[in-house]
Amino acid sequence: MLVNVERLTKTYGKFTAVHDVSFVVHAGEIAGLVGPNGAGKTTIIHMMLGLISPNAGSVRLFGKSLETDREQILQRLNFTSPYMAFPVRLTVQENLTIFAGIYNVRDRAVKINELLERFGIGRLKKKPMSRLSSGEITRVGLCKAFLNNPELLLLDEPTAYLDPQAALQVREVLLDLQKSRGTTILYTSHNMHEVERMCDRILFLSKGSIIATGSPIEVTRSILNEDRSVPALEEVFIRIAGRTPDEAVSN
Amino acid sequence: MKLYRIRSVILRHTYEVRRNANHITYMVYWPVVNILVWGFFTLYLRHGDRLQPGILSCLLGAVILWGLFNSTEFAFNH
Repeated sequence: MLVNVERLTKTYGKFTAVHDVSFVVHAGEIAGLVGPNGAGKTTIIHMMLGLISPNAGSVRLFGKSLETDREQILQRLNFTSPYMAFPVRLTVQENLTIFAGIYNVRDRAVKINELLERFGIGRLKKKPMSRLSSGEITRVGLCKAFLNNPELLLLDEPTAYLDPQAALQVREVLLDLQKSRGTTILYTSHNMHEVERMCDRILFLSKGSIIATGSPIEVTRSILNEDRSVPALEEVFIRIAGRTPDEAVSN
Repeated sequence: MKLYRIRSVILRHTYEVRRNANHITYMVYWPVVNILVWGFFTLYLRHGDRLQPGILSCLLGAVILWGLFNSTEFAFNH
């Protein structure tokens, strides 16, 4: 397995953001980390990147411990989030050149051009980041995430701020890149239809705990307690978001 | 510490300076001013018994602490 998270817990004072979370993600899989706002998705991703330390538990990526082999691990993965801040005065190309330098990418210009074209933003190469729309910045973030040909991608709401057409295009590119390179993806999104289309397996979070795992249809049947023939994650989401923490964990 | 990462950080600031010459103020002018101010301040403190407990040393300590936090905050945000 590529990702092995064991009994991860993170507290801020008396507030528990993540409670005793364990899961694995296998190589080549697209796993969805979904749940309402404040469920702990971004906190888990930040702990997987080593940006914050857990109070308890461990993260093993590529069979190595994040505590002891952080640098080797980080070279093999990448991350993007709509909350990422790029230097706004620099152009798209300059920003990506800096990141390519940090990742020690060879043939930087070729690689950057290829990714910009793939995500449909080749025309924005010379534009400063401050002139881009939120959706365009999201796509620059995705280009950044693919610069080092990562084996593991942590995508935090990769289609946030995108219109339906752009979101569809990005999903197709992600699936295409995942198939051609075998990249493992951990994906968070609030768009349940997107999660159904993209993810092989779902980890459903509520109030810091995993309350259901499985394929979209398995999670739908498990949470709704009905024999459904098609996934209905939006219904599942609405039902879970309305639960109290005790109800969520006991179910 | 990897050389290619240092090069990338230098490249980032080179791009910034090309876009906005005022960036040099943050990179050169303020560090030089700080070195001069704190250098003269250290020389001042070395004379006589100016570091004995009292209101003055307490105020100076607070100013140093404020400077430290201010610089740290600035470094993290830029």
